[in-house]
Amino acid sequence: MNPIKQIELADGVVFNSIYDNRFKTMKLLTNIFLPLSEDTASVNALLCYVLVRCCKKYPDMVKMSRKLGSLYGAEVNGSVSKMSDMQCLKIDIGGLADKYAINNENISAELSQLLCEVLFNPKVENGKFDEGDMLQEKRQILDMLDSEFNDKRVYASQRLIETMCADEVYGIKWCGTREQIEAVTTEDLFKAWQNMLKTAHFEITFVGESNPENAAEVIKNSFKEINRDAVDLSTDVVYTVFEEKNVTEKMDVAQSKLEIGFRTACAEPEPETVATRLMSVILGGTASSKLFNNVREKKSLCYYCMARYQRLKGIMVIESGVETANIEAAKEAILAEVEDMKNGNISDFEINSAKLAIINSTLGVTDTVTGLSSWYSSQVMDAEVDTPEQACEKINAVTKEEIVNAAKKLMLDTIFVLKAGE
Amino acid sequence: MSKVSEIKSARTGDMYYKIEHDSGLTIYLYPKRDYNSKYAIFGTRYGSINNAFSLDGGEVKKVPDGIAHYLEHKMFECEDGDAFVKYAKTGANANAYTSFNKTCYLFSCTENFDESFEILLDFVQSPYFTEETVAKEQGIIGQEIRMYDDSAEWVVMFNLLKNMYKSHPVQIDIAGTVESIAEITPELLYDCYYTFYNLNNMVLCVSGDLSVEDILKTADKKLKKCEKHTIENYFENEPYEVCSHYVEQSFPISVPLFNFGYKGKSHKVSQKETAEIDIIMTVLTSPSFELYNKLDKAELINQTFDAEYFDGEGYNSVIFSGESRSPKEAGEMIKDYIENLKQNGISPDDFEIAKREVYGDLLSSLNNVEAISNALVDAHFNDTDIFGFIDDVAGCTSDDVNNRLKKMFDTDNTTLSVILPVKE
Repeated sequence: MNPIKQIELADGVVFNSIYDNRFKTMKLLTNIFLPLSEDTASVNALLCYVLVRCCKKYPDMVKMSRKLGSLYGAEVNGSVSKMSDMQCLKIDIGGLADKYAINNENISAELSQLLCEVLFNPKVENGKFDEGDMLQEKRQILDMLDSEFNDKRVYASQRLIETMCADEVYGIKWCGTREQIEAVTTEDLFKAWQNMLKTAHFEITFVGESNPENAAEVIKNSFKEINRDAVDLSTDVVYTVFEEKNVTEKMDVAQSKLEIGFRTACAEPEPETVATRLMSVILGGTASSKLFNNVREKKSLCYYCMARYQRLKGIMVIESGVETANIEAAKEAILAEVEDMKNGNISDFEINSAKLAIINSTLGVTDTVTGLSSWYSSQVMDAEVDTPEQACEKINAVTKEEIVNAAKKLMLDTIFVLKAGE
Repeated sequence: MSKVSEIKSARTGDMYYKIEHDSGLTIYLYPKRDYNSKYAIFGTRYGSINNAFSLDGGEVKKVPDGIAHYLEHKMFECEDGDAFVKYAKTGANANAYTSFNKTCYLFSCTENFDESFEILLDFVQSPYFTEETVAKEQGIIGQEIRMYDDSAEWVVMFNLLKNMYKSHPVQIDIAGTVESIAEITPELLYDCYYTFYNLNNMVLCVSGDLSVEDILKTADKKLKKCEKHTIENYFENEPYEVCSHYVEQSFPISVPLFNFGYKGKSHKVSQKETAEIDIIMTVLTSPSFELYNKLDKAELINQTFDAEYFDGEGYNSVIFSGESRSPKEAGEMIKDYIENLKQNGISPDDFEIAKREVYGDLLSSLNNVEAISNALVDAHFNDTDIFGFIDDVAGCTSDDVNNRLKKMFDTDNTTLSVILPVKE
C-alpha cells in the first residue's frame, strides 16, 4: 500500500489521497462531522439523505440514478451514524476505475464533479429544499427507524445505550426522534446545509489509480466561497458509575436478549485504549474468546455471546440471545468471565490468539477500497493517526499486566433484558 | 500428477488456475498480487435440500431435517480438539455456513496462511462424532433456531417458500426444528458425511498473493484420495402451481415486510440465461428504472426493496422483497408492470443502462478475495465460468433479454407472504 497524502483544502477540510492500482474501482468518501445534539440530529440526518437523492444538475432520483447507471453502475450513497458525541454524515461515491470503461469514459473525473454537485449544488430555491424530495426521504428515514425495532438484536442493543447514556449526548439517536424528523421543514434543511458547509469538519478520502489532484482542486475551489468556522471534535467520557441500572422489557418473541454495559474508564486519546481493546477481544471478540468458549461451547447457553468496545466513548457492551429460563444463568456465567479477567486468569494462548486475530483483520483493511478509505476517517478523533502496521505494533506490545489493569477498571453500569414471553 | 490449467480474461486483465488434483478434488487459485488478505473456501455440494439420497444405486436414505447444518457445526470438533482453537493459534478468521444446496468452510487471514490451510484441509476430512458431542450441540443450535424464529425477514421468506412449494425440501428451514434435530445421531452424521464429503463432490477455492506451488505443497500432503461414487438425490414430485396465493402472520414489528414470488418451471439455467436474467432483475429493482420509481412514488416500497432469482435443483423462482405499508398493492403493481413489460419489451436505453450496471457490479466484485472465491465455488457447482459470464453480460443483446423476459414470469403462479405488526 502506498502512503496516505494529506492536505488541508480549507479550515477543517482535510483531503486524503491513497494511490492504489490494485483495484477495479475507485472511491471518494466524504465524512462530515457535526456535534450530536438534540436540536439538530434529525435535520442533519435528513439532510444527508436529501443531498444524495438528487441535485440541481440531476434533479430527480431517476435522472441521478440513470447518470450513475450509465457510468457502469457507479454509486452515491448516504448514511448517518454516531461517532461518540459527534454525528457523522457519510457521502460515499464510487465506480469502476477509468481503464475498465467500455467506451473510454473518464469515470473518476465525472464522479469528482458529481460529489461537488451533491455537496454544493443541491436542488434549492429561495432558501428552501424541494418539498417532495424532503417528504420522500422523511418516509425512508422513518421506515429505517421502525425497522430497527423489527430486528430485536439491534433494538435491544439500542435500548441499552439509551438507558445507560440517558443523561449524555451519546444517548441521542443517530437521527433524533420520530417527532423531530416529522417536524423538519424545507427551510430548516436549507439552514442545516449552510451550517454544514460552514462549520462541519470534513474528511474526504480518495482511493484509486486516477489522479486525485483534479478532485482536490475542484473541491478546494468550491470551498473558497465559504467563510469557514469549523467545529472541534470532542467527546465527554464518563468515568464513574453512580448507580447500577437494571431494566427489563417484556415482548412476545421466542428468544430473550441480554445486554450488559460497562464503563471502561479508558477512552481516546489515552494510550491504554489499545490494552482495553485487546481485553475486550480476549473476553468476547473471537471464536476462541472466553465468552464463546465458556458460555456457548461449555454451557450451551447461547448461539452468540460477544463483547464490543467503543474506544471513543469508553464503553464496553456484552450481548447474547438466550432462553428466558436461562437469563440468570447466562448473566452469572458472563459476569464470572469478567471477574476471571480482573483476577488475572488469562492464559498466554488467549492473549496471543486475540492479538493474532486483531492483526489479521487490521492488515486486511488495506485490501478493500472501503477498508482503506474508512481506516483513516475512523481515527479522526484519535491522538495519533496510525497506519495498519503501526496499529499492529501497538497491539503486539501490550502486556498481560496491562490487560488485567484494563479489566480491573471495568464498571458494570447497566443491564438491559428483553424478556421473551406472552 | 495433478492437471493445472490457466483461465485468462482479456477484459479484466485477470487470470486464475484450475487444478484437477489427483485426490479427486478440483481446486481453483485466483492470484491477487500485492494483497495481504488471503481467503480459502472448501465446499461440498450438499445442503438442506439433500435430505433423501442414495449412494451407488443403494437404498434411498431419508435423513432428519437440519442435518446438513448440524453436520457443519460438528465438523469443527476433531478427535484432537476444536478447529476454532487450532485457528486461534494462526489468527485466521474462520467460519462455515450451510445453505439450501451447499455447505462451505472458510477462513481469511493475512499471516500464517499455510498453517491455517492445513487446519482447513485436515478438519474437513476428519469426521469425529460421539453421542456426547452430538448431544452438546442441541442447546447451541436450539438457540440459533430460536434467534431465526424471531427474525421477521427469515419467517417471511420461509412462509413464502412453504406457500410456493408443496413437497420440495427448499421450503424446510435450513437448521430444521428443535424436534427434528433431536433425532440426529452420530451414525446418521457419518452416513451423510461419507456420502457428500467425497472430494469428487467438493471444491476448494483460494484467492490471495499465492502461487500454484503454495497450494499444492499443502494439498499434496493433506488431501486423501477419494474413489468416485454416484450420488443420487431424490425429490418428491413438485406440482407446477403454487400451493396458495397469500399468507400472512403477525409479529411484534413496526414496518410490515413482504416477499412476493413467481414460481417458475424447474430447469437447469445456463450461463447465458443467467446473464440475461441479471439484466432483467436490474431493470425490475434499480432506481434507474420505471418499476422502482412507480412503487416509490406510490409509497409502496422503501430502499429495502430488492429481488432475487432463486434457483437450484428442482426449484426456480423470482422473489421480490422489502418493507411496505401496503404489501398487497405493491404485489399488484409489480404484477401489472411485468405483464406490461412483457408486451412492450425493455427499451434500448433501459437495456443499455441495466447492462452497464450489471457489468460494473461484476467487475467490482473482482476486488475482493472473498467475493472472488465465493463466486468460483458457485461457478464450479453450476458448471459456469466467472470470466465467461462477464463476457456473456457484455455480449447480451436487447433481443436476447426481451425474449427471456417473455418466458420468465407466469402471472397466474405467484404468491405473496406478508408479516404484519401485531395489533395493539
